[in-house]
Amino acid sequence: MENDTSTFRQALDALLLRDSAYQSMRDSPSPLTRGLILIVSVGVVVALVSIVGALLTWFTSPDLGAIQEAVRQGMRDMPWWDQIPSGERQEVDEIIRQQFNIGWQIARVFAPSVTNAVVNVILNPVTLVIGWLVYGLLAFLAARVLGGRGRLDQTYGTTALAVAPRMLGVVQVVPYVQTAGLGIWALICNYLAIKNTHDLSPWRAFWATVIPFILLVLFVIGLGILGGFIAAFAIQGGL
Amino acid sequence: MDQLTQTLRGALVLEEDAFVRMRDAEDSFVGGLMTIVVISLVVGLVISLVSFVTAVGASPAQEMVEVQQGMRQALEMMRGFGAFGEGPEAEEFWRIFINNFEAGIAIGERVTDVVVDTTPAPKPVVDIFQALGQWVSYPFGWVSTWMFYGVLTLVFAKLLGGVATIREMLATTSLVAVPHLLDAFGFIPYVGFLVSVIAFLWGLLVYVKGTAIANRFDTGRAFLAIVAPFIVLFALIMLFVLFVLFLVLISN
Repeated sequence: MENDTSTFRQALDALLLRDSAYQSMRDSPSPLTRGLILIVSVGVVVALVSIVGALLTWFTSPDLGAIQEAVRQGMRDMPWWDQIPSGERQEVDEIIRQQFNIGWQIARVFAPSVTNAVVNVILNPVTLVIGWLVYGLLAFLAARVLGGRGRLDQTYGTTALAVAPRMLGVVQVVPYVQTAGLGIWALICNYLAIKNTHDLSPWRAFWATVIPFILLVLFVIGLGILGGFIAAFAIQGGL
Repeated sequence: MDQLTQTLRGALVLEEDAFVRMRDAEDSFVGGLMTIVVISLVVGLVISLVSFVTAVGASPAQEMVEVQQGMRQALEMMRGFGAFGEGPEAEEFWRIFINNFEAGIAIGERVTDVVVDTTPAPKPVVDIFQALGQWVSYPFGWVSTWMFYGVLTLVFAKLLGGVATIREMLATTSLVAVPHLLDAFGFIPYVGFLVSVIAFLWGLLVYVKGTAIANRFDTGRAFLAIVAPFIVLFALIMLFVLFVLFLVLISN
């Protein structure tokens, strides 16, 4: 319990960009385990609190389905509808309905909902842990290439503290709150984590922090190009 | 707290000591963060309260009527200037256009009714939560802008020979928030815009001074470090446009 409290205090210090937090995490006996516990705890707590926010949002929001139906009905009452030949109306209505539903389905995915909030209790920590594992490994490799001296478990421990800004997500207990911009705070925390773990100069620490993101962007672009080639090949090959 | 107040007051008149005190404070980032959060909460409180009072005083149906009247007037004015052309064809176009416009407004009215009918909470409760959400969001918006631009400027400042740490940079540039207290008056028609422009320009001066003090270089280089992200962005856009043009030419 004492360990958990000190990890939480470290996270608060990390949030306030205090080097001591990163240094004590680096020098702790089990930085990887402490980092994992911190990330899972933050992910679960923020997601649980967000359920209350989602409930309040539902309580103060209109029914999206009813709005969808009102707009659809209204479109059918517009003058241009009467100009469609009666024989083609059913077909046109079906095409419009399909296109119209796609837009609303996308809106529903992004609209806050209690179901999404409950699912996030599992999804949020899992996503955070996967992101942390991938980023930590890439940052460790980048830092080592740039002359860093820290170990992998130390890198994981200190970069776990970059989850600290996400703790502020608890304000999502209030509906309609936008917590945009926590990513840049987390990036600064990652910079301090890498700098303190690997004892790098500011420029080297900067590159070790951003190289994982550059690699991830290149990977996504590569995947997109590969997907495009496969699609083009499949179309040309008549698959 | 007294010292922080003194520092904030000094920043307004670009007093060098105020920026140096902020930079060299033991927990400089915390001081900067406090400055941004407190000022954004004050500004946000005023703006959110005004939004709340306006929302409580208005009914959705009345708002729809006002929107309809405003748009109708604007369209009539455009027609008066000949924006829709002249002659029988233009008349026919105008008739069809207005019919569809009225139908569009009817959809808006229908949606307004649905919003009122299907929202479980009464409207004043919705207004309270929306205003509260808007208020609590304010510090997040301000902090993210402060950090994002601070990091970007620091990168260019370093390239220009600056020596600031990330904490020093964020601490001194947090003082940019002080003139932006004027943004609290942004809701006043006409005057609000003018006040916001003054706050922006005053804030720019504070930002230049803050960048210079944090990096221990002159204000000329500080200004260059601040505008450099825009120059680079513009250059990148131009390069992208040239690249697209090149591809188009090649494909032809």
